[in-house]
Amino acid sequence: MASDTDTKRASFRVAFGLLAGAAIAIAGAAWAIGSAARDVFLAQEEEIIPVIAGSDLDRLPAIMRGNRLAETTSMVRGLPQRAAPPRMCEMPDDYFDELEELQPREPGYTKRNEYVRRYQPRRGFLNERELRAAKVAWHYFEKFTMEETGLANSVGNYPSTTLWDTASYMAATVAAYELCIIEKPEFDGRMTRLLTTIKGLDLFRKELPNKVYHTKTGEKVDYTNKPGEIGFSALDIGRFLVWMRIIKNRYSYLGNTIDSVLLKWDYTNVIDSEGVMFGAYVDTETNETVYAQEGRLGYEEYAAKGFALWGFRPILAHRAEPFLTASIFGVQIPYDGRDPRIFHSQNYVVTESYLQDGLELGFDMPHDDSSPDWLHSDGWRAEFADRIYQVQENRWRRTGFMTARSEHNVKGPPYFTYDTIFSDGYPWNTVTPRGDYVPDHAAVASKAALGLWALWDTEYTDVLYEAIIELYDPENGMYEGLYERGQGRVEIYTANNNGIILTSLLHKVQGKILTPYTGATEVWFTAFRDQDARVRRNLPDPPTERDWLPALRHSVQTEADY
Amino acid sequence: MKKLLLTTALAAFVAPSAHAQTATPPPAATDTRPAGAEAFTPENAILNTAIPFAVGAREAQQTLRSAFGWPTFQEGLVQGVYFRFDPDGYARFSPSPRLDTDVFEVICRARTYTCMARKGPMGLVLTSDGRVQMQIDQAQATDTFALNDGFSELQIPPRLNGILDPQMEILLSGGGTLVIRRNGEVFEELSLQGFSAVLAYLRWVAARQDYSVLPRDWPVPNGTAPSVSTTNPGTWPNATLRSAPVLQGSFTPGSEAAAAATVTTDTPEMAALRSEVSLLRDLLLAQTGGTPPAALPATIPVTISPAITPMSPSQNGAVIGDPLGQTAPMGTIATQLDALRQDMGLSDGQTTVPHTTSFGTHAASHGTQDALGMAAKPREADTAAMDDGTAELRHLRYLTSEMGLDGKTALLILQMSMASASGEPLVPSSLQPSASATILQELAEAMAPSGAAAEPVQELFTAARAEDEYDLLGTYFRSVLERN
Repeated sequence: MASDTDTKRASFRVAFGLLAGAAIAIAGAAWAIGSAARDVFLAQEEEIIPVIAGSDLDRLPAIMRGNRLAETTSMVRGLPQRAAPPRMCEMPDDYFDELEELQPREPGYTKRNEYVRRYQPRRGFLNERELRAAKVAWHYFEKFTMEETGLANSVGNYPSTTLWDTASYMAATVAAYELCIIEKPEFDGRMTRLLTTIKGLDLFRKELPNKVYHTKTGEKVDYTNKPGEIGFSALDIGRFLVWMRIIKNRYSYLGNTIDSVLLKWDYTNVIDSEGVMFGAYVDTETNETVYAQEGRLGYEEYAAKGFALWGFRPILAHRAEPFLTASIFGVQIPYDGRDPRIFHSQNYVVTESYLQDGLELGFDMPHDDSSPDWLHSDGWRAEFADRIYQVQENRWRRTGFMTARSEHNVKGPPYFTYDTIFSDGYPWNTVTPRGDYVPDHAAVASKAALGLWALWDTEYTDVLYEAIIELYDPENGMYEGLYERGQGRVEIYTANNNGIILTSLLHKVQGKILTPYTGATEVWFTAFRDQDARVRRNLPDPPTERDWLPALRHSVQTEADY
Repeated sequence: MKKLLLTTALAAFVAPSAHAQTATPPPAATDTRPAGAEAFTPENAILNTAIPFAVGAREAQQTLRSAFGWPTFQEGLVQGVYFRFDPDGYARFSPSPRLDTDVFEVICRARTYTCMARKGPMGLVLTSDGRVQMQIDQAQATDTFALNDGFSELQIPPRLNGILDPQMEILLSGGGTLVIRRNGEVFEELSLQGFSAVLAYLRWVAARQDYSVLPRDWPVPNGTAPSVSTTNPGTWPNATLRSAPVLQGSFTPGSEAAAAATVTTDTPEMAALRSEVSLLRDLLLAQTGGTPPAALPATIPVTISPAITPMSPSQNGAVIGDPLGQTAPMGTIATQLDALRQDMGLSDGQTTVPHTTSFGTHAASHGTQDALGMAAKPREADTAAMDDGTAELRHLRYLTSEMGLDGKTALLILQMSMASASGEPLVPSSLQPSASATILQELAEAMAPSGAAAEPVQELFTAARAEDEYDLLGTYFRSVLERN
């Protein structure tokens, strides 16, 4: 009995020893593997990636940001930049034979909210009638540019102008050169004279250019052309910035001059941190500057893109909201939803702002330097523009009234009218700035007719073309328009009308007017880096992809709405 | 085709301004002037938009998209029409706040105070002597005119294309619709809403925004109401204004300026006619009150019914017409006239009312003649005139008592019939209507219940009188009695 018990005990001890040895062996193996794995992982974590100065990983201090290039779609997406077209007289005869944009495509939005329009623009060389119209339109500027300042009169021989109309003069000069109406010496002379004058303008309270300047003296004046100051207009400045960018991108040798003009200005109050644009006026009682949000649907987005082209971020100004729609001849016409009774600013729907966006910017986003002309990266702008066109064609088809509505000057009181598609709750409302309803001043605006003709190649715009293309006085330029009620021509000549007509004709030849920037770093972004001026004047840094304005879409009207 | 664009229609009106500006150095470097650009210059500002045209009006500022224009304008509501005007006088009047329907548009010749109002084919301007001249495009001599007030139509004389007399101005200022018929068919219907406000505006502009030229019932803003002195020509803003016909043009019945002008422009002829009318009026009042003429000086002020309201056409008609409609003993009246004349002991040439202006002379010599439709004529024609006067008196009585027209309307129609019968224009002199209006004004004022209004009536009987006045009236009433 005793030996059995001893034998069992010995066996138990052997088994226990084996088990303990196995456990120790497993634990040792686990430790060895864990240690090896830890060494491997820790070795990766400790790897150092060098940050190259100026690279994406380099979080640049403010003083250095100017060295960075503004990011565009071609840089970010690795797409080829759009090519700048040659002057008309330098184009080969078969230039338009193989144009990609002339191929028909399915309309609608893309995944990136780009938009393909249902309509094609007109492209081709100017024919004899169009070239004559271009020369007559340019003659306006030959005649009414003041030698003393290089500024062109807004209206005939009345010696005053705004930045908006000065941009029209710049547009006309670019078109005249690109259409081979003038040559480079004249183009350079005019541009240099103009930019020098603009740089020397006395600003409104040391901020931005006054709304109006005397074209002979260059003095800032009020609306009656007497020395004084009114304030500044964000919309006028926005359009001016569009054309400054166009000229800088096309003619890089003017870049330094252009930058020096814009670097003199103070952008502190014209755009806020949320991207809202503000104009300024003077309180007549206190003589203090009052800043008020400026711009309504149509003009506001166009001007916002002008600011964005220079690195600002007018994100709210560029959005369509708040907007409403009104059904006119089956088309849902978008109009600004801000109540005029509260904001004391009318929501005029006219053709002009959409035309300028289409002709000059191709309905594209400011950072887009690569999309073809048939693809519009600012999609909703192109889609809204199609509605603006469609409702005018529908009116013509339903009522017989040729319709190409815009704001325009008139001869005599009230001097200026908003000839709208919709405003103040009424369709086809023609009103004066003070609000009078003046239907007798309704007209086919020459600039609107030619702009529609350039961007919408349709039977209707052929009719508009026939109505307008010979509507000129060879001594003074293109007439402002043709009265809708049969009173004849709007016998007045303006810089804006002739400038947009030239832009429309240039678009036929070259397509989108804005060309990509082909230079490297810009003085606009590098200047004053060693001072606090950039902060004080709210000068922007070169935009990165994060700073791009968002591309949005809105619901598309698919069928007529009555 | 009936509706013309103002700017087109007024091309000739505005054109002189363009030519006038050619005398000034052109603002551009070139010497050619494209149309339109020169239309705006700051020198065209003639009005201060901070001075309210009527109570409640306000100056507003506007932001412009273009390089030029007026930074301010004035807007308001007066007499049921909304208005806006610019510093250069350009204005619009409309019953709609949008100023979009039934619009009177006013445009002023550049750098002058000469303005023209237009609504459709109807144009209104002030003449050089300040009266209203109407022009209706495409109107023909054979057209007939009527005033439709929504209930009935009143035929009015075909003399709208020209200078309006005050009666016509009053008629048209009452509103309604001017109906133009051609060959019996309605050719044009013109709304007259805003007519009176536009006329007031034209006069206000011409008077350099002087409130004294506005109608008596005009809602002048507080604190800027015209003082008494504004009715005195000696206190008018400048010499030009004093001598200019502008304020004579403001001779609107009911205006204080009109009252002032009435006082200061009497001539012997005018005074004679005035006293003649006054006497007739007093006699009629006496008939109403049953007071013998001999007691008139003392009793007239208290016999006038307090219920009679000044400037009330219907009541005026009652006062003028009803006594004539009664079968009063005209022999008694003649006797009283003779007795009164003898008591006064007046003779020709004793008129003492001062002669101030040729305007007054001219107006008086014709105005009263028209107003009464009778005999301020050479003595050789007295008999014929008396015959006419009798017929006219009957006509007047018929219009007032049988037709129920008020006194002013009856007189107006009487004038029309006279003009038609004579084949001559009713208003041979441009100033005649103003005098008629003045007399009507005085009639209304004298019939007012206040003592102040009665005093002049009393003075008529206490002051020296020209003998021919009584001869004239006596002869007249005798002729009436003889006929009856």
